[in-house]
Amino acid sequence: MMMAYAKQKQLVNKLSQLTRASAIDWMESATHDAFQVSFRDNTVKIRIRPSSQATGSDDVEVQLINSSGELVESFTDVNLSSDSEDPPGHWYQLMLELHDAARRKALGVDKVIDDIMSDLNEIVPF
Amino acid sequence: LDATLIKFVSDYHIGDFASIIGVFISLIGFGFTLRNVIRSREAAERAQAAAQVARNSIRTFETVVDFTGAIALPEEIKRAHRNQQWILLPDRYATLRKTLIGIRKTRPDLSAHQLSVVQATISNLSDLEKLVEKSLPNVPANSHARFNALLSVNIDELAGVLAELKFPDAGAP
Repeated sequence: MMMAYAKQKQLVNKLSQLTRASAIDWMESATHDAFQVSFRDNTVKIRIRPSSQATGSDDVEVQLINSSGELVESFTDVNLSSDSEDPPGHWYQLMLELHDAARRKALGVDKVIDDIMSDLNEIVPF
Repeated sequence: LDATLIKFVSDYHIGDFASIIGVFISLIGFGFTLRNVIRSREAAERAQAAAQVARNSIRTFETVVDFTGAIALPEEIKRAHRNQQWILLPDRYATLRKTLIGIRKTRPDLSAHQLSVVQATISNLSDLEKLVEKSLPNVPANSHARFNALLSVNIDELAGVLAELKFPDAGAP
């Protein structure tokens, strides 16, 4: 049972690392509050969904789409947490941050803030 | 006369000279043959290269035609969204998705960026197909705006790929 999600964890870590480095172009998806990045033959999608458990909190889900557009794999932070000895909440926090970073990239939030800051810095106060 | 001739040939080693000259002539002939073989091979290689260039040009032309068609289809889909023709749309999503899958299979030499643009569109179409199919016959009325915004991004990116294919020297990202 343990380490059944080893590859998925590697994938999440790599996506987090590259997203922090702004090396991945996340885009909006057809589904509300879901963001996706496509490569040569596959697509990764990340979204928040109501928890399958009665915890009241949401889960962060990653979906893997193949070259035909079919969903071939999906997992949540709950799956990764149950498969590791990491501190509780580690995978939830990491995937939530990834989702937030993907949203900011897809919507161009950081660029808008940078542009506004640039405009503000050009204003000379009298 | 015959005896005189034979003696002359023998005395002056004409036979030896003839043999030596024969060897030289053979060598020169062999050189000419070798040169012609090399020339023929070079001509064949040039012809092969020209044929390859022609094949690539035809393939690029076909891809440009396919891409042009693939860009026209989402415009039709956007119009169908606006007209709320939901019942027709799953088939159109599937048609466009299959067209793009076909383009990708016939052009494995597309760049990673170009392939990712095609893949993003395929993924979105698959999503739209499932969303609309699941919601039929009562697709939320305001869905078309979001769907069209998404398709517009895909169309713009596909148009970018088309431009790169048409004018490869203009530079790709």
